[in-house]
Amino acid sequence: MKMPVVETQPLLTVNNVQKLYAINRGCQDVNFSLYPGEVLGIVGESGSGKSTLLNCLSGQAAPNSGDIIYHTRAGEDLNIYDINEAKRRLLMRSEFGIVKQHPRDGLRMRVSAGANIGERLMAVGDRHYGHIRDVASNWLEQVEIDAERVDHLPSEFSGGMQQRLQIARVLATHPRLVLMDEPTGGLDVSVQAKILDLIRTLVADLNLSVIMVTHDLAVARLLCHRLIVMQKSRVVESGLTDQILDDPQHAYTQLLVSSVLTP
Amino acid sequence: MSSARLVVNNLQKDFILHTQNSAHIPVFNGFSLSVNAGECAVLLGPSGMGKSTFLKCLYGNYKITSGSITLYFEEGDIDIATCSPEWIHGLRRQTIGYVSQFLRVIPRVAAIDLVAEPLLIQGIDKDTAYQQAATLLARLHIPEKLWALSPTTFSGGEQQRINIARGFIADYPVLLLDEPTASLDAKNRAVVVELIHEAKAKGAAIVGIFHDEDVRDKVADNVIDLVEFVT
Repeated sequence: MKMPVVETQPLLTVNNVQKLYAINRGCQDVNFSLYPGEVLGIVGESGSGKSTLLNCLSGQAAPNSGDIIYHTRAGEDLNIYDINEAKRRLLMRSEFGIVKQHPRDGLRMRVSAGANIGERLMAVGDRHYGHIRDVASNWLEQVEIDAERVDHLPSEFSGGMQQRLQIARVLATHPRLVLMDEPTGGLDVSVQAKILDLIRTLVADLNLSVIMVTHDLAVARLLCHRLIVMQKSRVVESGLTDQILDDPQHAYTQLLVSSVLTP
Repeated sequence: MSSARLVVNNLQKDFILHTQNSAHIPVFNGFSLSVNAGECAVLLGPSGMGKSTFLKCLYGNYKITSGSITLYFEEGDIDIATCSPEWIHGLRRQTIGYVSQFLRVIPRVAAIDLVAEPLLIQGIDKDTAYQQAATLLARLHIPEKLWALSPTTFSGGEQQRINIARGFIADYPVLLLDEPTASLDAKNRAVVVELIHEAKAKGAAIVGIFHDEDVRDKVADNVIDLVEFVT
């Protein structure tokens, strides 16, 4: 039989990243590689350092030490904090996408849904109004929002719709790496299911790589190929999602998994 | 030994339950097994003996305490015990098929999509994948009106047949079967026996658990009693 073909060029490589606010507050000794098309989940209790790590990865908070190396579309390996601010911003705009937990943090609430998507397109150089509007309508339909609502303000949308609009806004510029912080936190379960389904389909269709912070293990099982478990600023366990959830090795992971209520 | 596809050597699996006074539960130890291409090895032993645990170790779902699980490829060999997650993924995509006892359903995904998925992941075109999925669903007597529905609401036997279809659609060279006939009627059991024979003819190395003696006798080339390795 033939050996499987496995991707050997990571999209993102994280070496010994540390960002501490106080002793064991923040994240430290973080090491992992993310491969194209892979969805990586970061799980752990509140205050374990998940969001700190995500902020380091998304260019928003420089780590105290360690390297974050990104392999660009052009085939270059860039240490994202070794490049200048302007170049980093361009990289974030053109290759990264960031989905916030609260849509209002990721959307501009005072401009229309179409403009929210159009703004991102213009930021990467699109100037043709008609084209921008078509792309915006198309994306609204992809995230199951009626294209007729292109001129409505996000504040007139429900929470679940706002989250879907945020996802459309982020994906419209075709990022290669999407970072999500609790994308379904605070939404009711039926809305949650719709968003999970949407993310799953889009990830597969667009071959996206995703790093997602969540404390919902059911969400992690459904979406993530691989998990990192954090406790008190450190990674205590990492591996295949089903292995971590079905045969957890670390005491903290066992506690986490055994605490889940199943309806 | 030259045609061995899968060799398990001195496998040990223990569970340590940290949250329950660090209870130490040894499952098996010193378990060895070799399966050739075109051969079906069947595990014996009463419930709770660790048969499913063993299959889960082979699939990379459970961590291995010690020992090795080697897969032999034309290009070389791979030990599942020391494999990175990316490689386990690659193996699950291309090499190892697994029919579990229970269908873990992804809400809102249609039965036919679930069955076609393993082929689509391998990069096979949509038309071929869906055509093969339809053929397999029909062979397993799943009524066509159910194909577009999510199996969440299917009966136990129907869910099991969706699992079987997912396991057999991609012609995996290694196949793990965890009681695939447990909740099936005679007609569908016969289909599963046929599918196993076809997979063997294509050279698959199969490890299975069958409580049904009749099915076991029809498919097994080698029967291994797990009892002697239980610790």
